[in-house]
Amino acid sequence: MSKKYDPLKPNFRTLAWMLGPSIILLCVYLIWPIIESFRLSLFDWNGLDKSQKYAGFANWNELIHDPLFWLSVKNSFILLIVALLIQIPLGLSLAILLYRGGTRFRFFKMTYFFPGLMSTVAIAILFKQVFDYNYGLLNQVLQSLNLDFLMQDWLGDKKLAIFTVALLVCWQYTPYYMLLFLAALNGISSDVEEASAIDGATNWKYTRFIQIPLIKGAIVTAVTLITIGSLKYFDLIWVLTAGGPESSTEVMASYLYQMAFKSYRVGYASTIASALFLIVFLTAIFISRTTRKVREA
Amino acid sequence: MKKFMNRRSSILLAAVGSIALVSGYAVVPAQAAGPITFWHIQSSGTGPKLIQDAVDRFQADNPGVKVEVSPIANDAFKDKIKVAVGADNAPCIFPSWGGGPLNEYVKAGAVIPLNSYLKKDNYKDRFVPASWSNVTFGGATYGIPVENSSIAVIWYDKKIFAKYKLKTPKTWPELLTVVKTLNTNKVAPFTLGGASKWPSIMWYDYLADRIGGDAFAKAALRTGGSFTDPAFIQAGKMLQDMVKAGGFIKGFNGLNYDNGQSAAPLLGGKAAMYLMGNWLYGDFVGAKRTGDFGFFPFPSVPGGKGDATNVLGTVGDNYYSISSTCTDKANAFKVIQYLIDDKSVTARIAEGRIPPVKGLTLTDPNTIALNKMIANAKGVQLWWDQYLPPEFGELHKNEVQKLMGLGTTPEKMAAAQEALAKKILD
Repeated sequence: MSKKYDPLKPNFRTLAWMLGPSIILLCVYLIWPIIESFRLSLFDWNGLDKSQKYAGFANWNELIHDPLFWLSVKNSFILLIVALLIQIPLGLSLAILLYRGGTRFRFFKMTYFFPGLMSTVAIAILFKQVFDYNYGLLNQVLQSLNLDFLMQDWLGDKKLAIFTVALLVCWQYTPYYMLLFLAALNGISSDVEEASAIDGATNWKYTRFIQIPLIKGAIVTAVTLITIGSLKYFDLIWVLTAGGPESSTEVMASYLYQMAFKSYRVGYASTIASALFLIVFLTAIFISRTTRKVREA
Repeated sequence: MKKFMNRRSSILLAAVGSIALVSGYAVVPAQAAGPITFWHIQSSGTGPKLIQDAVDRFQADNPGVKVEVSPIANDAFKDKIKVAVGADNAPCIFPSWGGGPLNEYVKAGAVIPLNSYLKKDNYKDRFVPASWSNVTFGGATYGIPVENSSIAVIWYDKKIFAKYKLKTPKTWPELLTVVKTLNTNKVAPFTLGGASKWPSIMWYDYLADRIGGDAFAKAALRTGGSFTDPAFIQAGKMLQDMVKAGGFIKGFNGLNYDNGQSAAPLLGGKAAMYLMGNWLYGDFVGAKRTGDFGFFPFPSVPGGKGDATNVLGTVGDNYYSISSTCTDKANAFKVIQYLIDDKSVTARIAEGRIPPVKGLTLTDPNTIALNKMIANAKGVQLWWDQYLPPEFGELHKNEVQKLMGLGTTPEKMAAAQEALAKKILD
């Protein structure tokens, strides 16, 4: 048995050289912080002191009885549900329309993708002005159309604010999923389209029975991405409302940020971070399980 | 099976990304000896120039020392400095507002006492005595007052007041009458940056001071007082009555201060008044409309125990502190001295500020009036969110926002504040 170089069977040293750097980076910036967060969740620490006070499960106990935390969980899931109900159907419809339009619709493809190109912070600052009750573009437009009864305090009304935010998130992210679905649609062979046309499939039937089943993998991916993205959503909310008014738009990540950086409770914030991790992880597994049938059918 | 593992591990990787939010604490870079690092938050308008000019003068006199100046936006700074201090990587010189948050740094040993420097040549006597209380803990002083004196006053639109023949109110009932008149004429009485939270607490803190006198000090210092004292309940009730009377512009809890949203109704004539720090004057300067706006003190409350000359605010902030990890503390202190030398004081006065040093020569009528108000005040109460520990400050801001959104009662708010006070102040 002579040792021959076989690129398909790299030896340990090659593997170490190729994977080593990324594994080290993952450990330093991902795995270790997670372990550290779980460890810190057992401590009472303000983030400044040299010493950390061991507190056992006091933080976890507080978390379970913290109504604000549960409100933030609820709000995170509102974001998730609104995102699933709007981004998937809307993204899919737009993708199908753009696909049908072909090159003639190139202008729309670019226009629709525009929100996805903007920085989140820019979107937040822009829409803070748009949603302003007194001077905001939205209310001014409504007023000029004599639709005064529709004028709302979009971000200041505690019942409305979370839905305003959720819709804005949809505006921002639908283009991504539109693009994802469009790419998947373009991947369907034209033979399939011709064959179904010969068999007499109408446009709607072709979409319903051919296109959508063939891109279900992309749809499942989108659902998973939306789930994870919504549950840990932070930046737009932080700049737009900072969780207010009256905590009505507080989500898990903004609450954890508030605790760590505003209230100087890094120990408790780590508990929230750990809980957020568990919730995202379990939800992702749940989605993966429930969509397995769809994917493997 | 292999496929499943891949999928699962990819979900794991995606999910763990969510936890990286607090990982800022993970990496601790070493502090190298070398230049004097200096963070400040005078990042808008002529602020950076004020600082840079002083630093340039220092460098001209001390050619061997290098100073690295970083202007940082206000809210970004508050987070950045926390991470830097927690990671033992604080800049040599950094600003604060004194009070509770600075005390956290003091307790953590992150900043050094400056008493020995202040004693030299009686340097301390250069400053207004009222400016030291917010940076002195247990007899030691941890910050030098430099930038400005800031107090909350009620700014009003002179034209609107003239149009409806209104007089500036001296008492709370008079203020309510003004509110009523403005409402009948479809002008919002007050604008308010309720989304930013800190503008709202000025209302509550002022009312509590006017009604309760030293009730706050007693509750905060735990010398026989409590946050459930009737004075606080009454303050909450009166504030909610003001909300119900239409005292604030519609949508006030959705308005931010930082992006100019909350000041816009005042500048645009939709609202007649704004209870805000005297720094709002800068907005009038910017709009070239200094003549259109005046100010009056927060009104007195009949039967209240607090002195009507008391002001809410701070004399001398930002304060500059020196971190314990600084490698050249003596020169760092010298840099701070240049920030508030005679040239710097003159430059700050020209910007409409009131530097916290004795014997100022002022010319601007608004600045003179403000300075007089500060000089005549029996007491200066620091904003509660800066005076108290950060955790309490946050709770207080959130509770006042809820109170003004009518989402809680004064009693519930008082109970929540007292519960936290028992936990962290006792």
